Amino acid sequence: MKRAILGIFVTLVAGTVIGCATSGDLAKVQQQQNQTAAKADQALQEAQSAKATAEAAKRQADAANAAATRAETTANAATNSATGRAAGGQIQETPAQSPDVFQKSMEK
Amino acid sequence: MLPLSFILPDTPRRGIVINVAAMRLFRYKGDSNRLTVLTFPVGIGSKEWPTPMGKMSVKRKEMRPTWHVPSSILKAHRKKGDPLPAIVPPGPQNPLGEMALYLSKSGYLIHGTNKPASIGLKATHGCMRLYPEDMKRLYDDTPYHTPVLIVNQPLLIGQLDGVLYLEAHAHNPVEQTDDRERKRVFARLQLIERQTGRPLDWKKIEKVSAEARGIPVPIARLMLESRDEAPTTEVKHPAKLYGKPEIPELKLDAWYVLAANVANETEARRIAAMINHQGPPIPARVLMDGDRYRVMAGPFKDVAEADDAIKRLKFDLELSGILVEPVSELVQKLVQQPPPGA
Repeated sequence: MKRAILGIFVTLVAGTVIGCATSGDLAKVQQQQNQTAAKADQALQEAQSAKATAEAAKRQADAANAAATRAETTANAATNSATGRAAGGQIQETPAQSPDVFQKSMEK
Repeated sequence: MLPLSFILPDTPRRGIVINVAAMRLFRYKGDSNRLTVLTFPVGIGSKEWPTPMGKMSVKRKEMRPTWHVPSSILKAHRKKGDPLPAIVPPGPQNPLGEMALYLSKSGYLIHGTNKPASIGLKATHGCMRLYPEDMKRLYDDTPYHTPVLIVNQPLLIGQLDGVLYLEAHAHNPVEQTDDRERKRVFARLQLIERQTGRPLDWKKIEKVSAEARGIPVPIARLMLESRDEAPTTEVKHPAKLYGKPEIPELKLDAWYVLAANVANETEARRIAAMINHQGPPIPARVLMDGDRYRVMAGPFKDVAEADDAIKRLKFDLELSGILVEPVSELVQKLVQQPPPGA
């Protein structure tokens, strides 16, 4: 009972000190909530769109890589057959270039 | 840090002066009462084809010049297995760029370029190349008969606000001209020392000379009230850099050339950058595949364009490119559709 009276007292005092929310305040809060929700929706959409773009780019890169692998395999097979080497799936590392290659390439 | 201050070469301040050691051109305008100077970086002749020194003048100016390939260059290209046409019309293939100043010394030009990455390199057959944007400015500002003086001054001294600066560029003391220049500049420093009565720090001078940083370095205060070295200035990063290549999006319906396949990402990016900076540019990108990196040049609209790129990669960069055909229409459709459940 004492606790209930204390609760009512605290509520009354708080109401007096803080003041009651007007309908204008409530509308403001509502508007802020709506804005926050809209921003969150927009951020979610942007994230989904970025994810979709990244996935599409990855699919494109995978397809390009697959095409490159096919071309590489064909070229390696042709080289192996020309040099009489056994066919194999070994990837050929591009040989390192000498440092002055770029400077030379800048000539006419 | 970018060098924004330069020491002017020790020459008369008129017309065009090119200091090959600094790979920099100075365009003087006005007289001693109101002298202005524009300065631009240049690309100069290689060791085999050095830029000639001495006095000359602007004999002729030409917009969209045609390149009449000198017989020596024709011969060198033929020998390489990469024959050139005798005449290259204006356009992206023309190494003279959009404008040229023909010098009185026959066969030598100051011109633009289709290889902006060559500015600051010793990569010409003796001509001097400027960034296309700089060439336009120089061309507009340079009348016929403008005197041109080409010098080699790897060590430059200058004074500003009572501070003595030394600007050292890469030089070879064993070479006769560099050694002569060094002796001349050191004699001038000794004279300054005697005239001011202030001993110079010769150890520091030797160090600055050996480091050859290419920027003015303070070496002594000549007056009591002289200020410290010039303050650094923050410059705005340009929205677009000169010669920065643009890489089109990956297109599955286009032809590509597999230029390299390496295990090291940095090496892949280095190769892609070298390809991107060719003139005219060849677009190239790095694709990761598992633990390896592929350098793909392209897109090319047809097989002829791709074949041409293969030739250029071979002759210019010693890379053996592999032709990559366009991806089939069916695969393209599959790629464009998001996977089920996505």
